[in-house]
Amino acid sequence: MKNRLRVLRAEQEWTQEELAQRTGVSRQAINAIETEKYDPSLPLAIKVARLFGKPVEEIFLIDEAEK
Amino acid sequence: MEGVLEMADKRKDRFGMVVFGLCVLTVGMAVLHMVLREQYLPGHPVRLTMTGLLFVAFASFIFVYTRMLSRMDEYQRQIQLFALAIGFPLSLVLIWGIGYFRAEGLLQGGDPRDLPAVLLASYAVGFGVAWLRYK
Repeated sequence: MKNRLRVLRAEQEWTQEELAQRTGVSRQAINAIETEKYDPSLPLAIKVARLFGKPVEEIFLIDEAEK
Repeated sequence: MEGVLEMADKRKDRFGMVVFGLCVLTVGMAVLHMVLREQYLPGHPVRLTMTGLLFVAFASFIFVYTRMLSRMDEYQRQIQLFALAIGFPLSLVLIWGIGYFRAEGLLQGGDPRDLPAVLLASYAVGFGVAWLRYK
């Protein structure tokens, strides 16, 4: 699954550490999501979406090749 | 408050490595126990001390591991799941292998007391693979 987390975080000028604190996960988790090594759970995806004030599907995108 | 949050977050980042370190330490103590028990007679203070320390190490590993699991975030739990998914079957294969080889007259000199160390070593291998996969 692709995502726009790094771009959105950069827009807010947050570090991975700051985003991790705001979402209640580790910095490693944020890094793994940004590098697309790990897909977040639905609750975490919703939390992230609410934090950025955007719908989940605008941040996390299903890769067409994965379908 | 910021400092406390930062410290908590750094601790959260290190959960996996602490568990892994404790696992390596426990396996190391098990190996040391194997070496020392060949050199001292049963009941010798060195053997008794080492046995006690080994028990404490195993108990600490279980205590720390279960406590940390409950505090880990979903990503860290995913790594642990991956580690166990490799470590558990690997330990079964190793234990079966040891049993079969012993039945064929190979690998003599082992002891059932050492099997928990095989489990922990398998977990350490699983964690290593998981860490490489998700780092």
